[in-house]
Amino acid sequence: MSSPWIPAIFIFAYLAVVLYIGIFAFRKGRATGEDFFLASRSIGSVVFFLSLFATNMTAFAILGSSGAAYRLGIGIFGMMATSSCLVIPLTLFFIGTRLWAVGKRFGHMTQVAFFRDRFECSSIGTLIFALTAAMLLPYLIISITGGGIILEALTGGLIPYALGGAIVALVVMGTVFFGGMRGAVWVNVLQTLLFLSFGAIAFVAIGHSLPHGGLAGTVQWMLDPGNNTAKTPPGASSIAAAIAHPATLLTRQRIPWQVFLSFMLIPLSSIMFPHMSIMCFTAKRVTAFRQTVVLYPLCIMLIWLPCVFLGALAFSEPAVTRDMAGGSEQLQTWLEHHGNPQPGAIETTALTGALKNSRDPAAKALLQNVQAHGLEIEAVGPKTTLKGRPAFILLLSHTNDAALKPFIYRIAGTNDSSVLLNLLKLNVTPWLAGILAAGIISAVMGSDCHQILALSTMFTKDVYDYYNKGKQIAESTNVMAGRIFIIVLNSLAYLIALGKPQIFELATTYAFAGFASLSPIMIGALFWRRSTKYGVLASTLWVIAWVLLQIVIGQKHLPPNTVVSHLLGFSISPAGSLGCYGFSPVVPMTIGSAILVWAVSLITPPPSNATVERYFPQAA
Amino acid sequence: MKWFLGFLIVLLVLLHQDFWNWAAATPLAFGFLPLGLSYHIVYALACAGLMGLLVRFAWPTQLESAAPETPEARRAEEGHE
Repeated sequence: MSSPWIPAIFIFAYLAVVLYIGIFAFRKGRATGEDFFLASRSIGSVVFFLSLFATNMTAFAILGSSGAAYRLGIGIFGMMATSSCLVIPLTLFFIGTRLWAVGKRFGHMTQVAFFRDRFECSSIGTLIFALTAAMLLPYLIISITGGGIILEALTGGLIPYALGGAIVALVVMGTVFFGGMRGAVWVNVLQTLLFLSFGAIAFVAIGHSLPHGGLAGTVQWMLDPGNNTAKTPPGASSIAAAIAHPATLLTRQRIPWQVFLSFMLIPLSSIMFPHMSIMCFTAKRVTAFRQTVVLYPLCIMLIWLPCVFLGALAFSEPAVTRDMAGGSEQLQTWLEHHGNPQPGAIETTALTGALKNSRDPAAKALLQNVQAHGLEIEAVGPKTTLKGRPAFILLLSHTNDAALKPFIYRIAGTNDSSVLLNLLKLNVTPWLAGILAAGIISAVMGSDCHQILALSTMFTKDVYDYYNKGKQIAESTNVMAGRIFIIVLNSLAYLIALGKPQIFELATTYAFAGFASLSPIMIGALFWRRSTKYGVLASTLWVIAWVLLQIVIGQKHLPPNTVVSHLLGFSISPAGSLGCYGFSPVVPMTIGSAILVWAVSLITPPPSNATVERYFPQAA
Repeated sequence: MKWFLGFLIVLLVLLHQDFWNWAAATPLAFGFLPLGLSYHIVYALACAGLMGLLVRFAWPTQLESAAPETPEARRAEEGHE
């Protein structure tokens, strides 16, 4: 059996199990909104923890983290993982438990329903609904895009992108359509166990196979002063700097301290994601949170640590870089338009110049080898035209010419989400790669199920049900509306995902900051009885303005370090977003949001006594 | 006790910014783990410890007795009894 079929078999087996669980949950369910959307608030402690964890883990935890570590080093673990180890359990402890209680007391099923009631204002809820739905929808699209790309990569193109995306979308839709929250939660148990095992197995299997003698040997190779002597020209990219000093990948030198500090605020987004807050309503008892908050940091560590470490060490493996470069969209674009290079793709002139002037004997030998295989590299006029992508990749990745190396690494860096996939393909057997592939797919689908269910719940309860209040809608009609929303939203997301639109990747980047900066609203609603709807309105408008500003600035593709405003300290960060005095956007967004909730609430009329007595009985 | 737990939360927030390890890769733990990783592994364990203390000494017991107060909440409760 050919190797692309082996991962495909494991993945299809996994998807079949997921679908079966959804259908099994359907047979156990009842036709009430409470049961379909919240599993009748009956989830026990162990399942609650496993499901909540899967809800919050996206493909980024596995693929994105290793890609980021490939470029920026092990600091990614502290920046993204251990900040979450502290902040997410704290938000679950202080906010999640209170959300559960207000859901139990007043029957709320979404955070929008809670805000409407707490702030005695329908419009506030509608505005927050629109903002959160707009920030969550891109995740659905990204999940389908990610599923399609992963299935295509792991099966060596056997399952093309469009089919892979359709398979993931259909399985997720089927599971949620039939099983509702109960189906999603049961599937999550399997998913969490799968991707927790993934980290350990991948770490051992890949770690032993790394060049330079496994983990210890590779670390020593990267630290060796002999490999860290090259001078980096001023203004060199992070990739070029990594080639000159690979030891920096084992430190935090490549991450600005302002960015590292900023990421302490990002995990505040977790509890504000609608699918996470809705999960808090599903627990049978509040005691389900007890073991969740203790185990959460440990599980984050178990997943992120191997992925980040392997991502940083992957830099020492030329074959991984070569494969990443080969699959890079930038290279594909450049090759398609090599007569008319796209601005900002890669430095074509510099690259062709370096190629023409290279005197590397290894390059010459490879050139002869390439020509013997019928591929061409020919010089036309002042530029070099390359025919045959394999020749191009082969030439660059095997060269010892220091002038050429940064180009191949930079091209590879644009495709960094595939670091771990390439490490798998190169270092483990197809059978093991198949099992691990199911783990990766489960990470994609774990949160996807809840995102689509959360959107369906919000559309059904916060819009359809809310605006038809006086019409006595039957429970079964409510459930049917939820199922229709699932089909419509998922189909829409798939159609958009077919075009691989980059705008949605942009949107998800800002969504983290957006959700984090909404957290002062939740904190005010739960802990400060003086917080008012006007404070919440001001804060929400502030967040909307920032998200729109980020998207507008992001569309301009301004180069890093461009100063946008001297007065406000706005400049473009290395990641392409609008930073403020070197800090990530989440900092001004969250601080501004908190100040607005506080200041505007103080100068506007307080909530009614009846509301204060309901939500703050002890204070009343 | 609650003040002490509050102090521990602030302490862990501060300890996350381990600027003194910024440029250091060594000493390696177990011969292969860079300092930046081993420090943050211990940090993650400390977070789990802190959460254990919060659950033990600051658990919001008043929430355990939360009961349905509105007709919608009561209907929901009756629906799955």
